[in-house]
Amino acid sequence: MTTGHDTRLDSFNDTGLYPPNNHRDRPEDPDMTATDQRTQEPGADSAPHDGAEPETERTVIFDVEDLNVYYGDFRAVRDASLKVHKNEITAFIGPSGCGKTTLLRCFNRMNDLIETARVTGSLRYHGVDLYHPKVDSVEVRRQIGMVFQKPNPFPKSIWANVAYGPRVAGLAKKGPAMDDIVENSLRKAALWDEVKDRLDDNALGLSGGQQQRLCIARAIATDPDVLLMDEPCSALDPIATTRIEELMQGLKDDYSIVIVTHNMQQAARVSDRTAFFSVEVNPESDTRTGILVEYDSTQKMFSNPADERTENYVTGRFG
Amino acid sequence: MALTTIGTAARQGTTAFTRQRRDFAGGLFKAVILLSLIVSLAVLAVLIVDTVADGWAQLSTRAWDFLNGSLRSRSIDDKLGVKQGLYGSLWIGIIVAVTAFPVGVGAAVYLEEYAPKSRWSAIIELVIRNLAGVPSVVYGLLGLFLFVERSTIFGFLGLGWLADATGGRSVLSAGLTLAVLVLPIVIITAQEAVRAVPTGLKEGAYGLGATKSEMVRTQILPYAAPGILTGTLLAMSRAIGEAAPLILVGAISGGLTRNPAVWDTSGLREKFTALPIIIVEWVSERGRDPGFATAAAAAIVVLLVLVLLMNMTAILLRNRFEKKRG
Repeated sequence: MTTGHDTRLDSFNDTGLYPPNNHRDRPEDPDMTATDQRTQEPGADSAPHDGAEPETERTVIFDVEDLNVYYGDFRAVRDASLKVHKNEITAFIGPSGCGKTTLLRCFNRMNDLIETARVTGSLRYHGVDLYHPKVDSVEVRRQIGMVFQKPNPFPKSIWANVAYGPRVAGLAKKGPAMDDIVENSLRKAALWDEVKDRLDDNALGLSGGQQQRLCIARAIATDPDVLLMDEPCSALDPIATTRIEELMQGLKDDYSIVIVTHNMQQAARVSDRTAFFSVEVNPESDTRTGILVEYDSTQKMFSNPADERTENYVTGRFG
Repeated sequence: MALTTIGTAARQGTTAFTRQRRDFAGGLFKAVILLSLIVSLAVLAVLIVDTVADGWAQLSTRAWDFLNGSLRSRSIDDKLGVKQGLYGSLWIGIIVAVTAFPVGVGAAVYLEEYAPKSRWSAIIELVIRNLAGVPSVVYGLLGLFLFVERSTIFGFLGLGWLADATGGRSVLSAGLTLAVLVLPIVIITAQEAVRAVPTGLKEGAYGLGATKSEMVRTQILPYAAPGILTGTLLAMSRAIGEAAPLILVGAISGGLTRNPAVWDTSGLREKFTALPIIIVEWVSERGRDPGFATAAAAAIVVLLVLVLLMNMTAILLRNRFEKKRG
C-alpha cells in the first residue's frame, strides 16, 4: 500500500488522475477534496474581495509556491507564489520580459522542451507535484491544453486539426465517435457554423481569428481540465479579439483558464483574478528577472491595488 | 541646401524628380553582372548544342537501337549501344535512393530533434559537412575495401560477408559505395528541411499531448518531406554522374557477357558498367576508331537526359508537396 500522494502520481502516469471524458463531471473524489484541492485558510493570501467568490468556495487547480525558473544560469522568474482557481479566468499581466509566459509554460511543462530550462520550488496541480520525476509531461499536456500567441493550425484539414489531440491520446479513431468529438469541440469554440461545410478544407485557408478559434477547438478536443492561453489575441484584429473574449467567458464554465496578455483592458474585461509581474534588473549581470508583484481579484487589482507598482502599471504610467 | 532646392522647385510647380545626370557606375555594374549570367549560360548552351550535334549521327538514325545495344569493339557495329550502362546507372540510382534516403533522414532527424546540443554534436555536424567535400575517389577506395574485397578491419573484424553479399565487383557494390558518397549531402539537406519546420507546429503538437516520436511523424516528416525529397533526388543525380568511384569498385568497359533487361535483378551481383564509364571508354577509343566520338557524345546526351529527368521529378514533387502543405 502506498501513500495517498504516491497513488495519485501513479494514476497520473497511467490512464490519468482524471479519466478522459468524465473527469469534470465525476463527483469529487473524497480523497481529493479537503486536503489538496481547497485552500485551507479563507482568504489566505488576500483580503476578502467583491469580484471573485471567496477562496474557500473555489477549488485550487494550481498551487504555486516559491517557483523559480532558470535558463542555464539565468533566472527568468523568481520566487513566484500564487493559486489558480477552478472555473475562473486568471490573467497574467506585466511588461515584456517579466516572466509571465515563462511561468505559464511551466503549468503544462512546455519549458521541458528547452534544454537549459530548470524549475525549482513547488508547482502543484490538484495537489500533484507537476515536476515530480514520475510525472509524465505528455500526460500533463493532455490534461492541460495550450493555445499559443500566433495561431498555429497544422497544415492539414480542419477536421484533422481538431482530431489530432484525441487521436494521439487514443480517445478515438476515425469514424462517428471522432466526428462527434470534432463537432462538439468546434461548437464549443463557436466555429462550427462557419466551417461545418468545409471540414476537409485546409485549416490554413481560415482567417486569423478563425484559426485561433480552431486552435482553441483543437485544445479542448482532448477534454482538458485547464486551458493555458499565451497572448491568444495578440495577432488578431479587434473584432476577432472580441469573439475570443466572448468565447472565453463561455468556456470558463467547463474549464479553468489561465491567460497571459499584454493588453490590460483585456485582463480587466475577461479575468476573475489578475497577477501582475514586473521586471527586476540585476545590476551585476545586467539580466532581467521576472517577479510576481501582486495577485488578487481583478476588480481589486484595477481599482485599488495594494502595490504602487501595480497601480503605476494599470493606470498606464509605465509598461 | 539640396532639400530646400527640391522643396522650392516643388512649390514652384516644377518637378524635381527628373534624372539630372546619367548613372555610369550603376550602368556598368548592371552590365557586368548581366555578362556573368550570359557567360555561364553560354558555356552550358555551347556544351549541350555541341554534344547533341556530335552525337546526332547516332541519335537521329538509330536512337532506339542505341539505347538497346551493348558494348562493342567497333563503332559501326549495328548492336553498339548503352543498355548495359543504363542498367548500371539506373540501378545505382535506385540503390542509392533506397539506402541513403532512410539512413540520411534518420540521421538528420536525430541530429536536429534528439541529439543534445553540445560540443560533440557540433563536431559531428562539422565532420558531416566536411565529408560532403571529400573527393569521390576516396569514397571509391572505401567502397573497394568495404563492399568489393573480402577485408578485415582492426585485424579481427571480418567484412567478408559484405563482399559475399554484394558479389564483389557488382552494381550492388557500386550503388552502396555511391550511397555512402551522397549520404552527407542527404543528411545536410534533410537537416535543413527539418530545421525549417516552424516551432509553432512542433509546440502545437506537444501542447496537445503528442510524444516526441508522434510529433516527428505527424509534423516534422510531412512538413520537411519536399525538402528531403528534393535533396535525395539531387543526390541521386550526383551519384549517377560519378565515374571515379565506379572505376575503383570495378566497373568495366568491355567483356560484359550479358545485357540484362532493366527489371532483371539477377544482374545486380554481376560484373557491370555504367554510363559515365562507357563515356570515358568511348572517348579514349576515338583515336583508334573515330566513330566512337559520335557514340560518346550520344551517350552523354542519354546521361544528361536521365539526370534532367530526375531533377525535373524533384522539382515537380516538391511543388506538389508544397501545394499540399498550403
